[in-house]
Amino acid sequence: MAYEPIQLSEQQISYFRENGYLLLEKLLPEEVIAHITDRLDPLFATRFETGIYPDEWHGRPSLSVANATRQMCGMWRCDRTVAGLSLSAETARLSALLAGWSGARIATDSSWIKPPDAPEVLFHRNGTYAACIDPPEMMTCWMALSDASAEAGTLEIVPSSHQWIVSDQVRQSLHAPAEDYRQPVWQAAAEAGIASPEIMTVEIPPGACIFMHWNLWHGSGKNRSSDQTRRSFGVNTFRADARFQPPGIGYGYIFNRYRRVGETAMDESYFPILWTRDGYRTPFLAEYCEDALLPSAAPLISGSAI
Amino acid sequence: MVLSPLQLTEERVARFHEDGFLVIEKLFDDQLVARLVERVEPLFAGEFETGNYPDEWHWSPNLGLPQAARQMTGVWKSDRTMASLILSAEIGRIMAMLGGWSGSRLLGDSLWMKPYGATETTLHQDSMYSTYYTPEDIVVCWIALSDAVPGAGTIEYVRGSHHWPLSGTVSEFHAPSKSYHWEMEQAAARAGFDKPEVIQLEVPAGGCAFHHGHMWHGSGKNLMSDKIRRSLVIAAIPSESSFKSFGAYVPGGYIAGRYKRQGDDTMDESFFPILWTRDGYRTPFLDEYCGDALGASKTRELSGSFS
Repeated sequence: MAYEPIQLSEQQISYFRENGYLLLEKLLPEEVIAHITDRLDPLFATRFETGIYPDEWHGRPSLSVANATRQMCGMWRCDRTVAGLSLSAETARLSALLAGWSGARIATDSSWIKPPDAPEVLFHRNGTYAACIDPPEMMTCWMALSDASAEAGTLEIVPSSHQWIVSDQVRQSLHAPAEDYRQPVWQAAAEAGIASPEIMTVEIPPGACIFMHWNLWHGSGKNRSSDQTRRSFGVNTFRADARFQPPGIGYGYIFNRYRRVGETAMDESYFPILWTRDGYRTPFLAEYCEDALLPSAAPLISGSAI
Repeated sequence: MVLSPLQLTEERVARFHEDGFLVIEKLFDDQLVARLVERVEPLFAGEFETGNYPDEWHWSPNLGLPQAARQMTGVWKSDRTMASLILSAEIGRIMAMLGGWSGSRLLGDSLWMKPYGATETTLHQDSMYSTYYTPEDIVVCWIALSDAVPGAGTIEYVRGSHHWPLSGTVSEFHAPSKSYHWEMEQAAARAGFDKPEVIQLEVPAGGCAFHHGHMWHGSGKNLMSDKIRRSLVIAAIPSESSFKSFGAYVPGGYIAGRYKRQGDDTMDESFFPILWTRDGYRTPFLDEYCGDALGASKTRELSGSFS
């Protein structure tokens, strides 16, 4: 069944701002789930449809342990079917409305595939990895491509933790931590004066999604199942008018490599604008790929019921 | 002390064009080797001195198989000690001279570490991955950061294979399921050679080999339990290079294609800095960013040799 644009209510937007997340039970039509899932194995087998390599890649056949979590970022540059979802005006519109932005541009996309026995992912905040961006705000739309169950190591979040005033640090690797994967959140909660933070397990069916604020603490447990491979797909967006911080400020991660020396402007070639309230969308996208959620319709301009 | 420039004789340049490669046994001293080697393990563990991720990062301690070959590209963006060699004007000058260019520009770099048991790297031509800019020319410098010896996964060249027609990209780059020579042997047969001459180089740490972009090369398994093979690869193209014109993306653009701006064929010096030109121009930000490791080196023997 074709995608129907989602109208966010004022109540949903308020809920997001208070809790730092919003669940939507149905975002992806079944055929979109199938199309994206079909592209993942070729990508992890180094078969990139465009011939362009991804921005980040963990878990590679023949180089990694068999139970390694497979993670890849910047897939929109490698495969135009995947790009249709990563660069969709619709997820960008929903992200912008929840964040209170007038528009959104792609930061990166990220697929997480956790086979049986895949290890934990350390708790973290995505905003920490956007520190070289001004403002360092990065929305996440995390979509389940398979049943996201607790047994299979689904996403875990700490509701309202985006409101904690705490320090944070970049960690060298989020994968397979030697320590308790929730340790960073225990430490942050203590700093915030929260005695017993609630960890919520996000159990959602394929096609459902969760939007997350950039300061929301999240991570995931081990895949304890024997036969379930957990697949998820995330789209991260910056504010449409985001710039780089002045040179030397903030952790560069995979973003700062696209900065032109001495400049703070973010080039639309590298960070295309996906949706704005006034209808602007980076022009080359129309040639590059078809929007997976709005294939034939013009993007919504007003965008919401508010 | 500023070192004296390496004098490339006409004979050496001619041999490069004939064989497709040139070995320099000592390019820099042991002190610099040690400083570079110190950076290798932290880099693969995700300690990026500049806070910027490299363009590719294959292998990490938490998820990687212990005996797998580690590879990382775009290292110059993540670590300024590595950058001070990768962006060296002297290496850029030699590559320009071997290429017959008026200047050289960095296309990319690659750091390799092959522990005991590390699998083969399929023989390939670097030019296979470099078809999206013009002029389509490339010279590569392969630097040994540990003694590279036959049997321990040293680089292998197929003498004269740069004269063969350019082949399509190889299907399995790391740990191939067929012989790591198989693709090269198919290319040799197409070029009319039954028994291509494969040479396993012996290069001491701090030495290097320059090769032509069409040169078939790769490496075997590291079979020596007391050897870790570390190497650093620099790929340069003519300084005047620009992207070919494309639509919304650069087909087969590998890493470099990510950096093409829409509607602009310029290879921006922010991403593809100019290392050396005959008229003295060098991309200005480089000296502030990392200095030049070879410009500051104290000793060097110019005992270049031919294999």
